[in-house]
Amino acid sequence: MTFLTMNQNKYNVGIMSTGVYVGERIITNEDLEKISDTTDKWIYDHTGIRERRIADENMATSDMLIRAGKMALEQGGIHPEQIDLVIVATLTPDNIDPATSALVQAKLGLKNAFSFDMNVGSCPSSVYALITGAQFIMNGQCKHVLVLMGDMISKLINWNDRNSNYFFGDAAGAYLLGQAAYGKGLVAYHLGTDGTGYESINIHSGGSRNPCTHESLDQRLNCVKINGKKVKEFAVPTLCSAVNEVLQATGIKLEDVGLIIPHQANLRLIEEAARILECPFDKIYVNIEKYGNTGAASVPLALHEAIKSNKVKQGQRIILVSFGAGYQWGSACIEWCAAEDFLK
Amino acid sequence: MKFVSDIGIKALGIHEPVSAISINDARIRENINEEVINYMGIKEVHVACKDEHPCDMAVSAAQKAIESARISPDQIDIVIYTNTFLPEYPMWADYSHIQDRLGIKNAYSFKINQSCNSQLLALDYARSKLYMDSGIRNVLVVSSERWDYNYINRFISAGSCFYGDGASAAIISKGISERKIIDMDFYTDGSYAGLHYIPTGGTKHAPDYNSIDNQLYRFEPRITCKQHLDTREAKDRFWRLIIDNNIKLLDRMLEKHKLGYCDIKKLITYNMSKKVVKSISERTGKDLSETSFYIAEQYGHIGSTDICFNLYKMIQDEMVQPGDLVAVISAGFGFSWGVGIIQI
Repeated sequence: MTFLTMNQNKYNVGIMSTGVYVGERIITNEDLEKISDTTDKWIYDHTGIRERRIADENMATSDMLIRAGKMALEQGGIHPEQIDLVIVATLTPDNIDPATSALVQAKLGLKNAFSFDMNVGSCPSSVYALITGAQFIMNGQCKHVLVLMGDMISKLINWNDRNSNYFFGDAAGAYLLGQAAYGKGLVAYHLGTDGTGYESINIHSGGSRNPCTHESLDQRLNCVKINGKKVKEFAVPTLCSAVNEVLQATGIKLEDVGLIIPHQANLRLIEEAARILECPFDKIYVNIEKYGNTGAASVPLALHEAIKSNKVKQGQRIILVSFGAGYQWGSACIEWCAAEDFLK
Repeated sequence: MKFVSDIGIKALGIHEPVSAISINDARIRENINEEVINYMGIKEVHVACKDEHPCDMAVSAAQKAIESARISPDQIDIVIYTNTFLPEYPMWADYSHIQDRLGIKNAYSFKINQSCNSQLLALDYARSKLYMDSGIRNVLVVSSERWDYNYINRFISAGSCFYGDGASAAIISKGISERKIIDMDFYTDGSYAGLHYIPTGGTKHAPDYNSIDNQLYRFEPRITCKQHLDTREAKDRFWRLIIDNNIKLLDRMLEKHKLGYCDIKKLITYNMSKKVVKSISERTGKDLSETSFYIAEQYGHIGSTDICFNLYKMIQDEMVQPGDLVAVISAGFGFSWGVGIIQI
């Protein structure tokens, strides 16, 4: 479904600042060659990934989210007590119960906020969580919303499995959302789910169907399984249609867009989508080479880097696109705000 | 009394597992003492059969709600799923699976988690979306819980309720003249995130042989709470706070709408012990018979499904009448609190 938000609602919404955290340990393709039957060439040729970051063994997802959140608050110049809502989007919570957001809220000192977790697969959540956070500002319920997205899939990977060990990295990202002036910020968004892809990512053991046992650990059923082939088939057309949907809703042309920041799933898929969209590749921000697929953090991490390298400019229209297992997808067109565009 | 809102609950559906266990039967088997049975007041809980998992129950409840709303699945634009305790698999797109099984083609779906408060939050999200986006017609909110014996003892693990299995669903729509959602409000305090949790199974402690041997994948609030609530006074203080925060939210909302306790005909609370529900009713000048507790007696606490489950039952039982204002009240681990006012 596609929605035009600009000037339709009580308030407009913009991203005031971003924050990130990436795992500190670097695992290169050469490192993976030593523990599984794979090669640097195969991984790079098929995915564009050279290395990925892994968080310290003693960390949990919340530790990464807190670091990203602190950075966003600092950069946005907003005191923790000014935050009205914190949303955590992750597929890899600290604990099965309770919500990770509760812990994050306490550790960030967000005393006046309420909090909840969102589960939208992993990769698609960066746009879903953005739109959900924006909703609470658009309806006037909140002034400042902190959206935290991150996954620590390294703890759920069978590192000896060549079919899944090269793909993911650990990271977290944050958007600090605020009320934007009339005509600024989020312009339109598009969200969709195709339920036939519900099993495209799965951990088979540890739920009500298959409790975790010694046998299930022996068989590594506690590790992530992805149907990569199916997700790839879905990814390229979905990425293209998600971009086209928001373009159509806003009535702007691709040449009017400053930058597209897609989910960093696979460089080859992004290249293929750029070809179909007839989009010059320098208009697409890519950083997958350094981080791999960081799931929920992928888009905010790329956006953060794009901002820091001055690729995102005030007044420019940018498109964020996420997609992944589920199958789910989302895109958002944002007119990038300057600091003075936010209401005090 | 008239309210401007025309957003409300178009239809409800529930799923109650056929099998039930009486607390009298459980008392001997689980060695539950008389004092506990008395303050709980819960007499029976329904229990899902071996192959009746959360999504199965969610689909059953949702189908009934869709049928009752006399809409086709294609008229649903958003599916919001809540399942607080335990999904079928620790990582999979269950919300997407539910969407697929219901044949809902044009929607997007996701899952939110604010523990047992999640359904109330989902109702508020739906209300907000319908209010803000003119393109949204119907939102399906569906909740389901199964307290699997492998992970919890539904009778003795928690000290504040006996847990029952089941599901409830609601279709939230515009242009509604009955069951109007007047308002909702939430409060979370993450400083209690360490009280109730499953030690292993997330990124904090990934499952291993040791955690299986020591049953650390089990939910045992009585054990995890001990270090925080080690004295009678600490426990009493904590439970007072649980009630206080709900009352504070309710008072704030009533004041906002220029209402008093006397305007509220019934309290629909989460299905906690008689002691908790009675405390809430006494603080609002209501008799226990003016609450939903009679449903808690028969079904126990069904996690995040309670509010719509109880609302459905109270409408069926003619315990509420068209035009009545009811307060909905729930709380969840983490901790989170939610209240709302619905005009029947």
